[in-house]
Amino acid sequence: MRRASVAVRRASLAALALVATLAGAQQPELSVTDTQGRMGRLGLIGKAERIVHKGELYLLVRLGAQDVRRVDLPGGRVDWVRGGFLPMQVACDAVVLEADGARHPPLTLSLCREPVKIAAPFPVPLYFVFRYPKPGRVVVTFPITVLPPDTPVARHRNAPAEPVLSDADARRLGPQEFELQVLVDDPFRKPGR
Amino acid sequence: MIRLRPMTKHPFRLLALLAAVALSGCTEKLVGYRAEFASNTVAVYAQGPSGDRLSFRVPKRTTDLSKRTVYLAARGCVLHLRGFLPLTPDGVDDAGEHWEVRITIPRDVEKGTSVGARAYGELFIPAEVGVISFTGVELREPSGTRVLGATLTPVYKGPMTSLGDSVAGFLRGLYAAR
Repeated sequence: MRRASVAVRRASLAALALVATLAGAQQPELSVTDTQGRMGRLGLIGKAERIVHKGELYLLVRLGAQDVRRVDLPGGRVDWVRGGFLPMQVACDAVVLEADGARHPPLTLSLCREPVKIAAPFPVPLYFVFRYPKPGRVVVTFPITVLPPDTPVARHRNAPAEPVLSDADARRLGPQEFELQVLVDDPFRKPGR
Repeated sequence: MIRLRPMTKHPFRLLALLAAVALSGCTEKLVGYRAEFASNTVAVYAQGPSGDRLSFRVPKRTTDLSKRTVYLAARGCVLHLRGFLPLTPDGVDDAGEHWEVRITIPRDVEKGTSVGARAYGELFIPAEVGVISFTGVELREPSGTRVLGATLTPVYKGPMTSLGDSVAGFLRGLYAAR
């Protein structure tokens, strides 16, 4: 009886490990790092995943925006606050991926190929497609121009004609470059090796 | 005198024929995808499976929590299935209160779901909110997107499944006529 229960337990553990391995193999999302949290301070989010198109592997990098921003507090602490979203223009044609010392522009499969303005938080993400690089750390650079907020629709006759911009927000305006580090893995590597 | 001879010539042909019939009976073909979109703010309904083409209806307008009118721009929607290239509409038709969106599902998704797995992802629909100015004119401001969880289930059909459907329909009819 005891031997049987041990065998059942081992079989169930093996099945669980197999399911976990298969689930891990199916996960196409890759690990990303926002260098020094600069993208987070503007409310930008970067994601990367491995995709298959016409039987070939590609790297899909997704750039989104939200109305939650990273704020650095004294003492090295970090907080996340809502609001303060600023519109920005992304130069899609100037985005580059740096891998093995070479710079690669996005492929024509990318959904974003011309300069695009992100006018509000939670827009349709911008998708950039690159050839799948060799395993290792690659850097994707996004040239972004932070714009002053648009004039809101006047709901009252005496509403201010110009949006109010704080000094901190005024310092964030202008062209900047943001880097997203992607840890590219080998999709053909067997798990556990 | 009658002699009984064992069948030596035909059994293999018969076996091959039976195997062919069994194989054709079990062979199933992809007839399309059943799509489900999950959201608590926008109701998007997909039509039945029709090959590699996915059709769904997006309402032209809805309201937000502040009771403001939100206009959905179906032309700019993007369907991103995890592990595949994001898809944009092939065409958007005006269907009264709705937009009729057509998207072609690529062969990669068919191969990826060939073992019965589903494809999961997100449907992004750009939105604009209507703001009434003090002059009484409604102006539209960008309001991000409405994001819906998307699940695509491949639907296969073959002689056996058709037979099963026929029997099930017959039994349902019997039960209804009871």
